[in-house]
Amino acid sequence: MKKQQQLYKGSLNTIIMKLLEQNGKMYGYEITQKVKEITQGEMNITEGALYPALHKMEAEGFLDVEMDKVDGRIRKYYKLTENGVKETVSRMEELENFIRNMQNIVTGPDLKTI
Amino acid sequence: MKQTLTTEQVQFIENALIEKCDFKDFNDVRLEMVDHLASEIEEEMNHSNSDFRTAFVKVMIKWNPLILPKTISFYSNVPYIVCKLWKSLDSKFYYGSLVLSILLTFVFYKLIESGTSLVTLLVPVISIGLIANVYLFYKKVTTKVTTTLSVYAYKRLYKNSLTFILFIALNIALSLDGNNFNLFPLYYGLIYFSILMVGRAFVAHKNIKIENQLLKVI
Repeated sequence: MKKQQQLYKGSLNTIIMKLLEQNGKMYGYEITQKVKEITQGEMNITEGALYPALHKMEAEGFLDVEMDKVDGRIRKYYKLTENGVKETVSRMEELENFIRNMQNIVTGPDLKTI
Repeated sequence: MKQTLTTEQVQFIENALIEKCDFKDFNDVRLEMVDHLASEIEEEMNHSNSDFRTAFVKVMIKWNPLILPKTISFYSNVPYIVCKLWKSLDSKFYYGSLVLSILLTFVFYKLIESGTSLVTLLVPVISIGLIANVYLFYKKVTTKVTTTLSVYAYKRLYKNSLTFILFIALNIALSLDGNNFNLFPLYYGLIYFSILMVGRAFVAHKNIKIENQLLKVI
């Protein structure tokens, strides 16, 4: 499980952006729960990785924020900006290429000769 | 029955972040942390059927590395989560200013060597820096709520402004004798502080949206 976490680490921003693309707007806790739910507990986004990533993408202009009062406390929602949508498409392409290449390497017949 | 936190319990979390973790000035991140901590505490209370205090201690122990004040590079006693954002801004604005200033100083050197007037080059740099400086002071005075970005943008504003003015005065005074080439270290300082001011003004401008969102809910 710990080794898998390392593999996911490089794709954290892409995962967050993809979730926001699918769900419109989300808040931090909701993102951690959604990832847990989708991966059936296999992947766990730590707060130490999630919030710095969200804040950095917000400062870079990929994310926009919206605040609302929910259950007596203030909730900060994140959503993709126009630039963020474009960036998500490009990052998803990169990630898909990476997965395809890994798949080819792992299942390819020439693995032993590499 | 599903347990949810009372207003007093949410306030207790917020007070802990202000008093123990120095989150007072970082309203945006503090409110976000309060919401996340409250959600986790509620989950813990419902999952293990524990009371608020027990769940609070358990969740806070897990969160300590992220929220306790740390001293990292230039920043002392700032919550780690804030340090992380400031460090990423530094790599863009602070180190970016250093590199861009070196490049511009070199370009200026070449242009002056080929006969371009020093005044033509320095006046736009000084003007842009001064406009950015005035904008920063204006925003600092008129800001109604502090955020992680606003504290970053106005950090060392007085010190940086004084140094910028000093560089302008020195450049003007020492350029009068006409020997421009000996003064390149001074041009570098002037260009650097001007770019630094523009970078900070950009951060202050970005903060407007977050400030408006905060003002809407608090």
